[in-house]
Amino acid sequence: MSIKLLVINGPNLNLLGSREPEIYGYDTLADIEARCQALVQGYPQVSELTFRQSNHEGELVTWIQQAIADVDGIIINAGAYTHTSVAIHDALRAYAGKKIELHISNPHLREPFRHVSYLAAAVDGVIAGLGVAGYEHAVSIMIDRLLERT
Amino acid sequence: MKVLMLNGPGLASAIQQAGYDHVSLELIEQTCIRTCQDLALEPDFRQSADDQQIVQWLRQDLTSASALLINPLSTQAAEAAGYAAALVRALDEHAPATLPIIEVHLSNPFVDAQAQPLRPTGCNVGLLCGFGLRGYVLAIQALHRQLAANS
Repeated sequence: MSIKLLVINGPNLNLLGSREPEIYGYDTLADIEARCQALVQGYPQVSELTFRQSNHEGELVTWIQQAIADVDGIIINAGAYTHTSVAIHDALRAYAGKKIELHISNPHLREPFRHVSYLAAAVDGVIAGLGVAGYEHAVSIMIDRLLERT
Repeated sequence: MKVLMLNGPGLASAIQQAGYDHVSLELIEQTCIRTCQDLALEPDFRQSADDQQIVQWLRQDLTSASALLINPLSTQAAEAAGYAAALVRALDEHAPATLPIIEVHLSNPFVDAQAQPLRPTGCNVGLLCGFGLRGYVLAIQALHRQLAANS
């Protein structure tokens, strides 16, 4: 078995480490990716873990579409597009692999405009409010799900 | 360090609705206890069909816990009686701001708007939805990680 995973990051996540660290922490996206890459080293079944980030909604949509062909699982932190993007919702619906919506903070505890997620109904599961550690938890649970462990 | 794990009313029907036929309350309990023990945490696993009991446990026992895992669940009767609001009130009144809390749902409640997540104002709550039994394991591991980071 050769598992390919894609972690998609939306707008402003390139600023991790410097933007409102009291909410999002001091780790950069590169730090988080390094820890996730180290984690998958422990799983010989995982052949590829790709991290991407874009501030552009359409680019996120394109990456999800491209993943349809050969990616087994998508973890998506769509940032603020979570609360606005029907296009990302539709792309996720078209993607038949496993999908997890991820947030560093818990949007439901923040401003009311973050209480609605357009993505949550189109994914298998949601992880929020576990800080940047949520990325590693998401990768770990995604692999477990793909390996059909309960 | 004690992890208080509370499961609200309607768990059996939630398991059934989620299609987790291989999962039972006993299996969840055994899995949670074993996961805690593996991490040198003291498990305190509880379930009640009475929503008021869950609220009372939060009021009575939150201060003696090092972390909280809660699958609030609900029933129509509990909802009508203001269960969700009572949970939030109990958390706001009794949960220290630094208490690691994770809310777990077996299935993804956002698919058909089955449940709204808890929205306390004075404490952080992590959210894990849609991962079945594995969500409980992950929640305990995440709580352990938060406790280690806080100490």
